[in-house]
Amino acid sequence: MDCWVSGWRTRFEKTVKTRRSILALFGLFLIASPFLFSSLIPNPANGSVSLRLSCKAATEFFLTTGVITLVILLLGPVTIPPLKQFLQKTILCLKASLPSSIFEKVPEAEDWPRLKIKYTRILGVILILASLFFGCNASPETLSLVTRTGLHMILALGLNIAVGMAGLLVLGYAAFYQLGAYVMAVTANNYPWVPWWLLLLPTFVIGAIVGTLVGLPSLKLRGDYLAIVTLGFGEAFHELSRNLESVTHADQGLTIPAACGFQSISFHGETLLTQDQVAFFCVLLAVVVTVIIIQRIYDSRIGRAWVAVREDELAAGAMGVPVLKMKLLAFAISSGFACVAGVMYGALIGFVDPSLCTLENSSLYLTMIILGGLGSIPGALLGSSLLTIIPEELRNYFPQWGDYRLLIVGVVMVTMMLFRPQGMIGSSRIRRELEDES
Amino acid sequence: MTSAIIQYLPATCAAATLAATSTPQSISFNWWEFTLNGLCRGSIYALVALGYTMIYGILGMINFAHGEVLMIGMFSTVFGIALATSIWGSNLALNLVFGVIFAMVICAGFGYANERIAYRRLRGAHRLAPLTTAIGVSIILQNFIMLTVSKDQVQFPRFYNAWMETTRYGPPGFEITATQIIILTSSLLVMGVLFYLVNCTRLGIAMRATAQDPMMASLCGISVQKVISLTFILASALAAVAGSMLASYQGVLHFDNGSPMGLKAFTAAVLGGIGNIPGAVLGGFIIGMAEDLTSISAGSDWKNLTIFCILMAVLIFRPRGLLGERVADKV
Repeated sequence: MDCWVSGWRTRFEKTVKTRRSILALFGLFLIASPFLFSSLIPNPANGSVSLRLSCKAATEFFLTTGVITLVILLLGPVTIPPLKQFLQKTILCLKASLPSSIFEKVPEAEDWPRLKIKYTRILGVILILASLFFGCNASPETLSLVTRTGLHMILALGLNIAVGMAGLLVLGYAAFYQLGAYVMAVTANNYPWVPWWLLLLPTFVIGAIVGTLVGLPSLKLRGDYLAIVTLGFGEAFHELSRNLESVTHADQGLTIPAACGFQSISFHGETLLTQDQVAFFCVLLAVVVTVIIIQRIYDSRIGRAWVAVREDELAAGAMGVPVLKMKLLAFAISSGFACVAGVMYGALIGFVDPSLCTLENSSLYLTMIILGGLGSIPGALLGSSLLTIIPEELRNYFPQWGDYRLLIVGVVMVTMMLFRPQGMIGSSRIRRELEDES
Repeated sequence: MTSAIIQYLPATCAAATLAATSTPQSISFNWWEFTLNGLCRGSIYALVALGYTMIYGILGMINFAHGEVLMIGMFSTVFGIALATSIWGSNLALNLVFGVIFAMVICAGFGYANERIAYRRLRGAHRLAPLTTAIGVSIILQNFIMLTVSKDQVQFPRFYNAWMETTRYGPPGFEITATQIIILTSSLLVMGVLFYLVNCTRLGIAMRATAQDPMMASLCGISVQKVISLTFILASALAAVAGSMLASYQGVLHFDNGSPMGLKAFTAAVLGGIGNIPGAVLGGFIIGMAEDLTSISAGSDWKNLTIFCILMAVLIFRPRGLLGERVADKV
């Protein structure tokens, strides 16, 4: 009886909820309708304005968003989790079917965490070998796209330290990227004999120092302040780089001499590696080194401290974790990696102008790690490659895609946070944290 | 409080002079015009900052999408005026009032939808989640307007703000345009209504109770959910009024006007003490003046930098703001 009543009640509540959501959607449509179904007709005679009904904007908007949503749904979160489960099951079955003399015991589902590390390593080595092979054979266009993806991977990995691992929202990340690029460009113009790789470490330190200076006042307060301060820093840095003409040449940008960028390697007059290939291998090496460094930090005491701070600042502080120091460290390392990526950007593109540092780019990097999975290194790699390669490919098929790109970024952010906060391949721990802490 | 203002004045002046030394310009300084302009911009910032502060007071989170709600308010004012013109022809005052009311209704709808869709599910979640959805919503709103209305600037109908710009009152040297009178009086009126609402009505008592302790408030029979929704609706309506004023004051509208305005208004809210309603008004006026001072002395290219310097200075020296009483760090 009791069960029946509760079942009835939940069913009743469900109908009410559905009805309410339909009503809410209708209301949303209603308040959006002035913008969707009408266009402004200015009247030049007396400077007045009138309205005309037109469905052109609405049909175009809904058609394009519909197509893009379908593509994303097919490629994205709908396919990945089942795929992951399928892989997990296949590997377990394969291991179970093999004779146990090779493996000590038949693996159980509980062994999965340990096995996962092992398989991730094997997969990583396979991926690196595959990309080495790829780097030797791919066409220059594909190679340059993949090299840019590699830069975005370093950015996503770096941002992941602050946002995913330490739980600090950073909204002006592109400013640090551009800071690195400017350091590279200014050095290359003044001291052309300095090779780009010599700049990596000093720029990391510069980025870390600037990050500390920006983060210190806001990190003493609540976490929200860092978000708005970095947002303001992004705007201010953009404005500074446009206004300081003597250093940055404003909108004309700085050109980096070709001798300072990536160079082709030749042996006895025969080209062994072209410039594109050198860039690709350098970026690949940088990504691998970044992954290893970040994984080591995350597994160390510092990483444990970051998790503790992320989960509960107060409790972490009470347990003796130096909260402010740990948060600052996370933010500093994260901005340092952005600067390193900026140096490689300068060496790759050979030109730096203020257009790099926009809120658009910063939110794109944030979306990469949210899509892939907060706090997860494979997630950051996957998210950055998806969000770099898919737009590039889509641009060939939909010319109007460029206008809709940012809208999709916003939609991905909101829907992932609402329905799958751990991202595509994030851990369930992050999901529990983000869903209900109360 | 006076000492606090004196404490901050050097920081602002330093930023302004720093900017001034790098791009020297001929300065024709008219203090009357400067004060009026600063007050007008300041009162617009104050209205937006009130929204930030109210939402922060109740939910303890920064609503990043608030600047975009202001932008929606700017556009829906023009749409409302156009709608009225299509229905009953060009009637100056009536159409303007209709435009403002239309913008308030549309913005209240967007504010409620924002709370309902993006924040309600995430209440009690880690702080990162609602902040991220807020950024996402702000990107969506911005691009929605860009895709459906216009990528380029939209002119505010000249018919409705030309006479306000040209009509001047007062003796020479102390002239005040009708726009400035309307902006100052109506923003003061709206603020007065808000103070009455917050301090003297049952809704205001419920809001303050929820801000202090949502759990206790719900035990006392206050529907916390409804109070939060009403706060969002009220804040968005304020942003709509600010948007209408800004649209007629600037004369042009652009879809990315929202986020810089949001940043400035947030700085105003922090400067006044976040969660503190009179503080938001004071902060708004100070930010408006500081911005005007920068654009007079150094050029309008340095505005954002000055605002950022003020934000950093406040966070370093007085994180609770000018009028904030409790420490901003509320755990």
